[in-house]
Amino acid sequence: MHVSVAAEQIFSIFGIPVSNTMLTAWVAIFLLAISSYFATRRMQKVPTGIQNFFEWAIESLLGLVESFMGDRKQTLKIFPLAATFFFFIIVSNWMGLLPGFGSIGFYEEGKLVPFFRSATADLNTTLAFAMISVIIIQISGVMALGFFHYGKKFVNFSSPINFFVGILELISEFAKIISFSFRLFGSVFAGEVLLTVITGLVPYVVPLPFLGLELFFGGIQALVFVLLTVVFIKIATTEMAH
Amino acid sequence: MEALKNFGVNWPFFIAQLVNFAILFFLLKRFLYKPILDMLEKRRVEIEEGLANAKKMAEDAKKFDAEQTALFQKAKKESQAIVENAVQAGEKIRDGIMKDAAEKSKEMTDAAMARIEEEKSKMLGEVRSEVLSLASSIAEKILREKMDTAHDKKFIEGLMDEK
Repeated sequence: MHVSVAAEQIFSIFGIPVSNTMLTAWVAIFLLAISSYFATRRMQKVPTGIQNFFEWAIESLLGLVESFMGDRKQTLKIFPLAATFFFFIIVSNWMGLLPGFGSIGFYEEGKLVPFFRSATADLNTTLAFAMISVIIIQISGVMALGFFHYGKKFVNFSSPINFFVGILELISEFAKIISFSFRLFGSVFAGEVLLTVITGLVPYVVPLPFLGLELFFGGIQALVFVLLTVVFIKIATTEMAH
Repeated sequence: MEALKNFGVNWPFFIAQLVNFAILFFLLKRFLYKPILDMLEKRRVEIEEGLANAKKMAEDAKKFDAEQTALFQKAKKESQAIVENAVQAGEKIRDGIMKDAAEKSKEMTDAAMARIEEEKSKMLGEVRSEVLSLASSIAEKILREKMDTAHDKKFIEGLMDEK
């Protein structure tokens, strides 16, 4: 049994290397785009089927984000970002549980290189998400409070204590990138490793509860990522109390 | 950085995932969030309007009801007044007719009485004159027959004296 922490390159297009997680990300994007196209192709006042489902999902998510932001206008501003994180992460997480993920592939140097690997089980993806999230948090802070006002949080010469606190704040922003990316990657990757190991030990019935658990964790991780982003944006856009 | 490399982080993959996210972001924004949020907002506005309309209609109905009741009451009152007037008028006419009739009948009775009285007195007069003439003629005859008797003579003399 071989488990690779890193995503493997499976082929390249025009010299651009394509990893198995990139392929899965494209599949996820395709699935989401197609389903949203069909959900909103003929919008009806009385929603049915897929439109109803997406309306429910978006309304619930909007309510959740609004309960953290507290302001409708701000909520609508960051909602597309939050919802995209949510849909991308949850679809990727759940796709990783599908049969064939991590098991269908080709052998290279005696190791199995799977064609499909959940996009969130790759640190490149989660790091990219974390970068986007943290950069958006900084931009929101600057836009809400002004560049210098927001910058004072990190570079503050008013007193030695404030200067030191500012450095800590700066470090904590970088720590956010690490915590965001490793939390998601670790959870998903560990889940997949767990499933692989369990399936390797007892192939039938026994992995089922773990599969259900991973389904649950997949949803929770998506929510955690979204809610942390929202909460950090809320904190960054709120005036510091002195 | 070396640690990240051990986790398989490399620039092409990382940038590809950034691009993937951006693509998904714009696709979903265009095809999912905008239409659905618009629809949710539209529906919210519509429901709000519907509720306002329903409220207004209920109020209108109430007002209409009140108007109807008022109108009905007024009509009832008016009809009552009309009937009352008619009854009064009828009574007046009846009284007038009765009075007229009574007057006329009295007049007629009076006239008849007067005529009867007249007739009666006329007849009495006639009878009297008849009786008188009959009596005088009878008396004449009796007188002519019995004047010679002494007794009668005395009686007549007595009558004469009495006078």
